[in-house]
Amino acid sequence: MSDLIHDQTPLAQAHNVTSGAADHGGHGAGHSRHLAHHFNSMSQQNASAKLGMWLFLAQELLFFSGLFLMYALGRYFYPETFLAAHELLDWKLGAVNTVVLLFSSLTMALAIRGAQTNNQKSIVTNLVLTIVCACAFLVIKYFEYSHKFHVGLLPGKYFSANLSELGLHHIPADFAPGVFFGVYFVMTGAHGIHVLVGIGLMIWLLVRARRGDFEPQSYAALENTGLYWHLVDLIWIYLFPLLYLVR
Amino acid sequence: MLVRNESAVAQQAGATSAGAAPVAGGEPSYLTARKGIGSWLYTIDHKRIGLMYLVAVLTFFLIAGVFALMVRMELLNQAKDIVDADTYNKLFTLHGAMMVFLVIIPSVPATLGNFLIPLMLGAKDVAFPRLNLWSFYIYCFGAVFLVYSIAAGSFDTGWTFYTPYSTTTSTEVISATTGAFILGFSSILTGLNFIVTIHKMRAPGQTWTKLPLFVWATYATSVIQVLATPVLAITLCLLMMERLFGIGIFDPAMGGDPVLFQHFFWFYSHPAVYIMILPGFGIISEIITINSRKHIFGYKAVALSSVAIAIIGFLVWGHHMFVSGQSELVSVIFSFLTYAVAIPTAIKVFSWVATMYGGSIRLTAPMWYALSFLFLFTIGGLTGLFLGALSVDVHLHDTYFVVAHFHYVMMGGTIVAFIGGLHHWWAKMTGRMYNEASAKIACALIFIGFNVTFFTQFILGSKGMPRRYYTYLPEFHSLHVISTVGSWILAAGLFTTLGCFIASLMKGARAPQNPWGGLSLEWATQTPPIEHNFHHQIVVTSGPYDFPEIQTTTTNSHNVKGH
Amino acid sequence: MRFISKKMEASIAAGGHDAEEHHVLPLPLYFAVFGALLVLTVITVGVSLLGLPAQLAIAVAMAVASVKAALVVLYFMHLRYDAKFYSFIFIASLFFIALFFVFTIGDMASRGLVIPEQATEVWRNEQLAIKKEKAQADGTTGGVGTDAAAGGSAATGSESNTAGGGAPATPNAGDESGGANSAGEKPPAEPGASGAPATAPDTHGNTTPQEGGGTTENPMQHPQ
Repeated sequence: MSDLIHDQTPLAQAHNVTSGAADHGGHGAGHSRHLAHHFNSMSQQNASAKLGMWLFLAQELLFFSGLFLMYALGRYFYPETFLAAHELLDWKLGAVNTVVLLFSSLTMALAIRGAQTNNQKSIVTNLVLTIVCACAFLVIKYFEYSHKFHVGLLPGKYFSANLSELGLHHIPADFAPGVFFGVYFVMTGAHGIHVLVGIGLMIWLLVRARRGDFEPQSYAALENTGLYWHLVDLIWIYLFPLLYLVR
Repeated sequence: MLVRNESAVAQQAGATSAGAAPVAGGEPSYLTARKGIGSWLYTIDHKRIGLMYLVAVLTFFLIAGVFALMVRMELLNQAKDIVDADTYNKLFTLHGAMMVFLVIIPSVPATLGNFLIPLMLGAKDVAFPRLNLWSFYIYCFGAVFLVYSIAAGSFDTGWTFYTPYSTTTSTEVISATTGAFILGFSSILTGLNFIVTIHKMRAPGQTWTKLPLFVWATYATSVIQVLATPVLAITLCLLMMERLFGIGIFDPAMGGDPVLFQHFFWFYSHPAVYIMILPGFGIISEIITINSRKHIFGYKAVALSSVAIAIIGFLVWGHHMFVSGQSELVSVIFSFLTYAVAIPTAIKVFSWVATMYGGSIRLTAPMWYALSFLFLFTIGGLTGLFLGALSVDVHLHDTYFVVAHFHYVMMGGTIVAFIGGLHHWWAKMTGRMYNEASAKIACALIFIGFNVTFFTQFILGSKGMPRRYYTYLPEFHSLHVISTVGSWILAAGLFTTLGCFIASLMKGARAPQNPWGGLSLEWATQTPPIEHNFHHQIVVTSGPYDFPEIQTTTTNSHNVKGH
Repeated sequence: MRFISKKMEASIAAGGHDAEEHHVLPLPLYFAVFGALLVLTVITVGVSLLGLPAQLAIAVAMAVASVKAALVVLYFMHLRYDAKFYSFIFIASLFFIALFFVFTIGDMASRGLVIPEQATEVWRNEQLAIKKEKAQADGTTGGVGTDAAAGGSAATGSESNTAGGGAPATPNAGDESGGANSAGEKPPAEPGASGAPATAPDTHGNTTPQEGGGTTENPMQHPQ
């Protein structure tokens, strides 16, 4: 917020406040321009941000765990449905998406490494690559979804596809494709929303990176968004075999 | 036994009870440092955010309380008194949903926690002040949805949203669950903020074993908030998906299982009750020690029992489902674990009583509330044991016994502790004193009214009166009348408290810096505090309970270790 | 409590809280991890094409996914090199997730331990049988379709029925008068003449899926 008062306490005054990034030894001696008023040092600030992000990831894990439990029970109740219905998914597109996300994780990690090594060009390039991959993921998902909407492979009670037209001839007795596609859309939908949020975050990071905000002593936002992005990748690592490769 | 009254203590604390001049550097308090509505709406000061939460929480407490009074009014007679059955269902649903999500869960952490945690740690603010403000606005946003759902015709599923009714009813379930979903994020972010603050922003010398027990309690609460609330979020999401798309995991006609919803729901909602009570435990630890002038008995036991409750609390959710069709094997396991969670809770109660023993007891209004808490919470906890026994629960489930049990722990426990805490830290927050006599009268009314209302309900429940029923058999009539009259006494007590606080704000005496002679860091700074809490970085060398009046062996050894 | 000394001030400013190790990993490591992830993805797909039995396939798929996850968490997320507390948070979340799964699935799986008729499989089959009856009563398809496995002697199905002493079900598939009662009733329900081509449960409540029941009959399209 713009109405932050500049810290005028004796503590700050005793330190001959020096702005600018030339910190020695990575311990935040002298006050970096990035230091918030309520922290004593960049080290404390960065550690706090990272801890906060790991806690946020913990709650994201718990959030998705509910979805995975729903999957597990859906499959437990309807094993044949899951076996049969997954053939209506295109595993090749899923595999491409997997590779795209893994590559984006790599580029994200490299962007962070760029900040650690003060390689501004690397930060920007890798961020751009990550964003491109993330968008590619969403584009592929868009094609998958639109195809499904088109042929009626919809969740729950809206399922209306003609299965034999889609090449599905072996249909089990208690076939409940609405359950499978309900699970499919809720899980990939939740994941997709997280990808979208990730793209938004990374665009903001890109703006900041081009401003030169990230340097070896202060790249917490980059690092923590990276953690978030890797979690998004992690979830897809499990989603892909469970949804697309059910054999 | 030494007896000290407040003014003597106040003088000892080195401040006069008259005079308004702020201390030391002439800095204004956080209340007056910045002016204008914008300075409140855009604040990142944890103290102001705490106050805004307080106003919101008390407002919803009032509204949900009125709904409760209407419920009790309707139950005065078997026939219709003031509302029809559908409206009655909506009233108790809203009372429950608003109390759980808008009042009790945020009550202590978001109000007192926000205000006190940085102060108790010797910090300038929480770790993420802007996130703190966001949490408040997310809370408001979620509240809007719940209020909207009321205006749009409300919902009548009970606050527990059980399927299949919640997936098929045409009432306003979606807006209500959306509201609860959003409120969950406020809770998660607050918890996250506190965990990082407590880990990273303690003053030098503030080791974990020198933390006030309120901090330990808040820490344990925050862990639960972060881990459990997302499961509520996904549960409500799945409920909405079920309503909108008919996916079928909760619907038996489509091969799903409605009990699955209950598993999802209670995985959060049971730890949620520990979110509700743990901060109350923290408050009681503070009030009892200060008003007994004695070090807490068994500091480490009390501190670690909070953590133990947090962890074990995740292992017992199935005890809400004993009669829902849950398997017998799993029910037995849950029942056993339910008894396990009573152990750390009992450790606390023993420790508080042992703390008072041999102490220099000061019967201030907060202490009255703390003593009420001990009585009421113990009853609530013990009756939980009845419900945890499988065979007994078959008879008591979904009766008024359960209603009485959770009101004893949530209201007799958390709300009483919350109000006691408000009294205890009122001076610190507002710079004013309240009228001690009125506060005590209010406490007495609350205590009497509460017991008349809810003890009667234990009897009603064990005689077989089911909960959430609009009407009842004639044999229950007189007990219902007693319970309703009790609710009026209780309401009178609560309104008296409100009046007491308002009077304090308008014409209360100026508070000294440390009216109760506390040793934790919040008392070491100006009352009310300046905007960034402390003039200089505090260094901690002794514990928060090393009161000099009564030298126990514990106190002595702590003083030795502290230097 | 006293005001801070100059020495203390200096130590705080020097970041006495905790110095973050800015561990810079070598570039080749990142690429190696990525390579390994790609290989593991190929393995995942490859194994799925092998046609292993379902339980084994899931186990292998999850194992491979977990190795990939471990690589991402340890190296890309730096958990291997960071403060142990972050690992603790991560593992703790997994612990609570495991709790959630174990008790919930445990409940579903153990319902039949004391009273076999209450096993999840059993009452679900009843529900599905009811649904099928209703579908037939609604007459969306004439007749029952080619039921190869006429183990639609759902007479065996009645062994696991809890409903009043299990009246033997007449395996009359097309019988529309077969007391199709309202679907969506919670168990135990009167199946009536469960003449529908229900899957035939054996005494352990397991089902043998039947072949090709009505290609055009889609249970999900019928109103509940």
